[in-house]
Amino acid sequence: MPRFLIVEDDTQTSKVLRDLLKLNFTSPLPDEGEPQIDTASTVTEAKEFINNARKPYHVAILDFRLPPEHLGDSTKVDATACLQAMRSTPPPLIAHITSNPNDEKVKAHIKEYHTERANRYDFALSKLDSDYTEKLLGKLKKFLYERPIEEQLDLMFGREAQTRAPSLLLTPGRSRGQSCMTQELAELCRQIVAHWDDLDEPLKNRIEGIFEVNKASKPVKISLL
Amino acid sequence: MRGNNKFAEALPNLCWETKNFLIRYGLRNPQSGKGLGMHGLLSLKVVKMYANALETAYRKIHRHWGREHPICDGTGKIAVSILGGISDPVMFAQDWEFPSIVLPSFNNEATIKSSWQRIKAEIAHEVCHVFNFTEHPLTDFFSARWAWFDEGLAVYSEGQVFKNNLDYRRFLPNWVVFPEISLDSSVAEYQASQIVRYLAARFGEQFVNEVWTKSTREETPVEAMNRLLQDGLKFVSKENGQADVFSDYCRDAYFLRDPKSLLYAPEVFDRFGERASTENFELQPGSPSAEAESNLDHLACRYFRYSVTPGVKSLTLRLEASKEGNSPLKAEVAVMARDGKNALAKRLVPIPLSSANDKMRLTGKIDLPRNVEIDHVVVIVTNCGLKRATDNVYESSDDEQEFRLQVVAEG
Repeated sequence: MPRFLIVEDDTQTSKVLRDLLKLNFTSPLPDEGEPQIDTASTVTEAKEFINNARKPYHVAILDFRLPPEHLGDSTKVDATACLQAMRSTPPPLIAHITSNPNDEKVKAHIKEYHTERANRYDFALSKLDSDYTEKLLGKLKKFLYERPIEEQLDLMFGREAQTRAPSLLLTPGRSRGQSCMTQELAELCRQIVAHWDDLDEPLKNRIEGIFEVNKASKPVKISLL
Repeated sequence: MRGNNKFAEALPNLCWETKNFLIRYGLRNPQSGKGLGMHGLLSLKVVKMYANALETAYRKIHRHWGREHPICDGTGKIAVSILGGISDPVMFAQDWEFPSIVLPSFNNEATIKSSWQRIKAEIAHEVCHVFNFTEHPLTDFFSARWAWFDEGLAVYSEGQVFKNNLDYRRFLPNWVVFPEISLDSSVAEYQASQIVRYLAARFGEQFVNEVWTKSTREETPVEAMNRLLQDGLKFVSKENGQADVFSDYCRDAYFLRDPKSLLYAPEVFDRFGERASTENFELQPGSPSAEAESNLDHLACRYFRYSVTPGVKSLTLRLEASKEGNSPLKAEVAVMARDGKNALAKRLVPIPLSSANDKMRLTGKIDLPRNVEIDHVVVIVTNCGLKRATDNVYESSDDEQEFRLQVVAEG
């Protein structure tokens, strides 16, 4: 289950985000349960959460201009919580939300720390957009569902599966007993079927290079041969 | 359009039909036309051997376990493809509906005999998955709960379908050396065949079959077993003092050379040795108490091994959980005789908690038998909790239960 950190000083927004995450990322399976959602309202608190996390967060949703460092002075951007989160291993997805998308300092931070970062999933959203929570949700799903599917595809079929000869599709060199291919493949396929609509086109294309996907069916149906 | 993906491109185009299977295959060096290289089988004779093994597996599981004909497409037959370039066989749901099998066209076993033994084991294993698909289809998210039992049953079926097929033993080294890995762990699914073997020996093969066929979609294997067991017996029970199957299994698993053990397998002992202990001690009368600190995940066990000098007449044992309140930990002490038999076993009993701040303590005293040549004494600590740790660090779980074990020898 995913672990989220929400850093937002507006209690109403924080609650909306918390409810949104709980509603959309709670597993239907009782043994998996609810996602872990921690909420901080200050940069100091956020850094404490990040420092003390027993397992790194999957996603950090960060507002700009947080107290108490700049209480009464909301013109500065304190990027220390963001930078600290980025240093986690593996690094979380950073989802910035702001009511001041055109602020030069906010723009500079996004450009400096996120636009050119290797993590292609980082993004910033304006809270002024009426549909920002929907956009946020879409991007989180993309990150939380796509990445594990890509990793499992790499593991089972190799990163170059689309360009290799078909005979090498399944990772060679494993021996009977090292892993249960039937269960691994089933789990991969279940994830693909469940999240197909949230996957981006390049990943869908990659999947269709390996599997037969019946897109006319809702949910999609998937075949190997 | 079917066949535009990479796997479909690799499919050989010959077909061999049996009563219950439709086998797609190719020949490595056919009489004419392109050779299929790794995707091809050596000869038609090999195809027939695969076909016979598939039908044997079908017949045994269908008749002996009373299983219905598996879910099939319009042909009414189970699709099988024999391909190269895969190291392991796999069962998957074709069209996300029909269980189908892919088998490797060759393997890297050193001899024809061991190669064929492995092929037959893999065929029994995958055919078992095909039958299992009916009750807990792998297309259903709930089936993930059954993964370990599915694999355990499939590995168990290998030796039942083909008597004297010992290929399953390749999974036993990890079972022998990692008793502390949870029974339902995704890294030990093949090793779960040992609990299936134990259940079949204790309650009959139909019991394990019914755990699968009479369970509901949303049940876990443990819930199904707790429901199906008779006379108030539970597969696993957190209640200290209440016997449960899992604790008995952990004890018997240690006594591989004892004919009374339901996991009696001296040849496994000879091949892979004794199950791994967490810590070992030498005890003599008056020696300081032997103290071990450790922890244990849900549905797992640890063995602590004590060599005793002839002067030791009894042992006093005490296990204390690190956390306050009730604990899913249980413990039993047993005496291993020189001939490998379990000469005496006794459960440690709980001291009732007087407040919620108390830590669970188990105690026991064992008088060592005089008429037995003792090899060593073993304390088996089991974690009878069911809740595994999730990614949510705030959710409580039965994993990483810390404890301290203290043993004092008296002359």
